[in-house]
Amino acid sequence: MMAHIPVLLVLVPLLTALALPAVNWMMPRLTQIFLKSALLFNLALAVLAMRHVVTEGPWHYWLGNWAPPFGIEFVVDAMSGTVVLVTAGMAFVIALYARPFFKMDEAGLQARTLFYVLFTLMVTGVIGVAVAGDIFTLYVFIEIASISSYGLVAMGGRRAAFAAFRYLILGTVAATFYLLGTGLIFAMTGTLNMAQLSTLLPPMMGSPAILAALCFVMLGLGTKTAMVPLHAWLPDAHTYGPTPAIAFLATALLKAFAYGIYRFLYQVFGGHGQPVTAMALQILGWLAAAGILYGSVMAIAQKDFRRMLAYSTIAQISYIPLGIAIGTPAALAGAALQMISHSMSKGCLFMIKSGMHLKLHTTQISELRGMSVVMPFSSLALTISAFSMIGLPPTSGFFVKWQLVRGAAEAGFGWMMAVLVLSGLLNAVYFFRILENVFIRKPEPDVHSDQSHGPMTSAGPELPLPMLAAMMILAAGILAAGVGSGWLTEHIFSLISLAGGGL
Amino acid sequence: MTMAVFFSYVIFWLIALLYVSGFFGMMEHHHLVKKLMAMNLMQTAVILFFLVLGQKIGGVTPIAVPGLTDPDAYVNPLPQALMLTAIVVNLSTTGTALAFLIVIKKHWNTLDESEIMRRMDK
Repeated sequence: MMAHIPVLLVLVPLLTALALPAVNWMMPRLTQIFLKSALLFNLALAVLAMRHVVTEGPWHYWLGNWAPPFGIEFVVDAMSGTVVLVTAGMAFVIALYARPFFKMDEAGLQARTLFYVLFTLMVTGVIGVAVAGDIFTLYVFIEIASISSYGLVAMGGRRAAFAAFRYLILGTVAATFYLLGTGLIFAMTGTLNMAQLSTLLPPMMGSPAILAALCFVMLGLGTKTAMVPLHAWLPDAHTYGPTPAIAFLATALLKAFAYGIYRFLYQVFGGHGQPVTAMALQILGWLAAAGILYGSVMAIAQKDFRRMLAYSTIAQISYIPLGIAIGTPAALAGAALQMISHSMSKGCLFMIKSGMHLKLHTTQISELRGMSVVMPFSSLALTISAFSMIGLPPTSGFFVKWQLVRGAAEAGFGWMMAVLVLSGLLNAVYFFRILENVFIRKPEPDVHSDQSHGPMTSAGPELPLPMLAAMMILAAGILAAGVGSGWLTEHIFSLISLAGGGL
Repeated sequence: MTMAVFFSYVIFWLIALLYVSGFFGMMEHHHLVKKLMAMNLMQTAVILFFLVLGQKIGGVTPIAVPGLTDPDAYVNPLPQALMLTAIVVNLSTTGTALAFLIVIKKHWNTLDESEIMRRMDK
């Protein structure tokens, strides 16, 4: 079994998704145990795969033992292993969190089963994107992940259905762009395997068809990653969708597409070694910087916590393309660490958002006064993840910025360092505003006569135990990834290959 | 116009026209069903593009014919296999989109995008 881990990583969530309705129908009591043990098993597989990568180098797995040009290849290396690990880990924590999220009546239970099926399908797609070794298999997994994410967003109610429709239209257009690029590459080279392409493409890089293919693929993946100016679908989808789904959408799904950008630019198109690709990387860097600033400024302008998180996602996700664009080993280590760091902190923030909704019945920032008294544990988790977003030590966010700034300095991109520092300040503006409301300001009794006094709280404990546990796991993870970032960089991120040549 | 010219140039322009008309149709129309149809046009154009890539004038269907061992005599089967998968993907996106449209129609009682956007801001 050990020899088949790369394919099992995809098969386990897929089979779980297919078996879940049957299990739920026959033995409703076992559904949760079945789901969580499957996801935990998958996480264990991801850890084993990562260990194999660290000890023995990149893992090339041929499906059915068919050699690459004819068969399908799965590849686990340091970067895709990181994505798989993040995905499997977030999937387990979110599954833990999601159980109390749905009501225990008939409709709630039905929605919960539907949610879990779509959710595990999305996990399948995201892990598939990470391990796919040829560009058409990558397309199929992108669409598996995307279609299930459209369905998940639509579960959030009437506004969500409309947001999901727009997301679907834009996402599908992005997918046709990607497929068109794939077609051009196939027409020029006659192969779809990434390893083969990386040797066949370099002599052809001057041809207009390959240039068009590069543009189409980047447009497709850029839209899916929600890079400025292709981010239009994200704020609505992330505001109206159901929280557990969005916690996964904003973290693992976006990371996988950002990883796709890395995969194409470095392992297919030859990285900084090719003039055309170097140009593409430079444009990517400018767009990522624009995204960081735009997302941060828009986040400051929001009054609603959940909409603020959506814009903050646009800013934070752009750190990964920025690291990819810089292209030094330090910068790529920063990008990989951001995949871990942002997944945990943004996942945690979305969970807290939903907790506020349950307990305080509001997500308006101005109405969060006195939250630290009512929800002490959530406020602690909020502080840790906000610190990570801003980039304060010892959270992992600090080390992300540190690595990126170091990379930018090595590569001589002074303006990128300025953008990174500025974005830290902007993040501080909007997160300290929330922390001020949560910790310092006292709830005002009955200022608006038509409003109820202070934060209207539900009776009972802070939040259901699984929700709190999930938040605490993530908060602890943020600190652990921060403290252990040196170890991660040394043992894992140093193995990330810059096949075509970094800077 | 000979068949060779048609299959090496003209058809690609026709496909590009289909693709671009889908793209602009999607931006132009406010009706959600028309948007969806324009999206389908784009998907179809990409499928045609792949199929034309594998096409050969006088090529044989890629199922082994007894006695015909020259691989050049057959149409390239790979794009066809790929597009079979892409058609399944198109089917599922269209199905999902239609399901959303039913929900949108039920909740908003209209399928006009600008109208829904206006009401959403309230």
